Amino acid sequence: MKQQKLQGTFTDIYNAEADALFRFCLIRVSDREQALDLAQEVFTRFWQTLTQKSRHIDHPRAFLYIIARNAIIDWYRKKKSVSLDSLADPDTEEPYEQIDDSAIADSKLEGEGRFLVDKIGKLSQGHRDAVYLRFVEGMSPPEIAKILGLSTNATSVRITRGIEELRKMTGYDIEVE
Amino acid sequence: MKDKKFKKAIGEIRKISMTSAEKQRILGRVLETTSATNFAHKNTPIKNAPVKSVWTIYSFSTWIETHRWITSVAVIIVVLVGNSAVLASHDSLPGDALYSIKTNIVEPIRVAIATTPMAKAEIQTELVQNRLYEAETLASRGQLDEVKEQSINRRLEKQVANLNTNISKVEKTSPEKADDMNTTLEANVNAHAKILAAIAIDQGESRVDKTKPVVLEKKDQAVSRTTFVVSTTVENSATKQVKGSKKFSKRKDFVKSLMQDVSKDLDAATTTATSSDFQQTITNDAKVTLDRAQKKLEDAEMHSDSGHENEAYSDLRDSERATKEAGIFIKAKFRLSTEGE
Repeated sequence: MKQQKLQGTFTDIYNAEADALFRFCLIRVSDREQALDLAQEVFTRFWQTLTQKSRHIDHPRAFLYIIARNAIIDWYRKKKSVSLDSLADPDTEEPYEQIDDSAIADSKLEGEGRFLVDKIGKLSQGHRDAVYLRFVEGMSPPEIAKILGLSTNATSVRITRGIEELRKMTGYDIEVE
Repeated sequence: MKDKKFKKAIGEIRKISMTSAEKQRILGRVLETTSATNFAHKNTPIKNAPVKSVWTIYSFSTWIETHRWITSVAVIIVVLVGNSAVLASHDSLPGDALYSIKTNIVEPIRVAIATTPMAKAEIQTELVQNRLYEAETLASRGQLDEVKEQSINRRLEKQVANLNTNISKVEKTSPEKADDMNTTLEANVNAHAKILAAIAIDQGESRVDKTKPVVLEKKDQAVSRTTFVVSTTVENSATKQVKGSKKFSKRKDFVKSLMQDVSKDLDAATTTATSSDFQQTITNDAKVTLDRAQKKLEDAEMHSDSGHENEAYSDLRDSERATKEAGIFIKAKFRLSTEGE
């Protein structure tokens, strides 16, 4: 009975978050199959935590993104050598890959979308994920703060500065809400 | 978000998604990886389920894993039976089924888990006493045949040798304690040899002829060896210890106190009815030995007064040894009379 309930909960979360998680992974790794693998790994870890460790997860969405960020970091470490300095720096983030056509074969990412992804990828470290999660995934600053492991105020500052930076890069008239 | 281009770009990014087939495939795989898969696919085989090795039927650990209740009960039974056997073996004698458990398992373990040479020596002294008690008990019952004698003597010889080794180690750190141990060992071996002789005499000359050569010869050897070690030890430590008259005085007080206790026990033993020649002999031996102890104590005091400290200390040790022997005689009288009943 409990197992049924857990599976129902998991399926609901999966249906709600699968596309966003996949998108988050795809933009970071720019490889569709790799993004699918990462998404699968993220949901597998989430499901194992849910069932085997019998842990109650207060914020499943934030938890999923935390797993995803770690999985992406692992993927980058396996993919290429990382300098000791970057390993020692906890703020080091892996860059956003240049997205290619094959990666989005089934998705309609046209000129404007591709342009924005490229520019977000060129934002300063620490601003990228904050801006992406705020504007693309529409998350609130407290929710982003949980994912990034920061306070809400610090997250809001990063979002604001990231938007300023993006505005200068793109010329968009972006309104900070 | 006032900028239409920005809004459009965001909309386009949000359109990136998995296909329905990809979604279903990933969901299926995720659910398969855990035990929930059984629930999700009751009637379908699990693709990535672990395959049980055919060799697990020969695996002891797998058997234990699958028979936890049986294993738990078996462990409890083994522990209970083992403990019962150990407890029951405590009073066993040569020839009993549990005697080998006592001498080959329980006693060596006791010695092995003792951490210091002093602790080991104390346990080994107890073991030597046990062997002598066993010989006396069997002799008093008329059950001490040649095989049992040999068994006891063999163990006794080995244990005395081990004990002497540990006493030598103790002497390096605590000469006075080593002296104590030597005195106790010598008193035990001497007293029990005499008790065995008394039992043999009590049971008739033919019995004496048969048992004495084996048991008592070995005892005499043990005594002589021990005496050699003891005399050396006493001499060495005496030169170190008699430097302080306080130590002599303290030791003398201890011997006097011990003598008073034994004297009280002797009075009680004398007033108790003696039903056999053996008991009478043992009581007389105790009296004679205690008198000798008294005499040696007086000699010790005399030598001390005349400034012959080494002789005084040696006499004091002789007195202590004789007092302990007398005590062992009295205990043997009560113990073996109870055994006879």
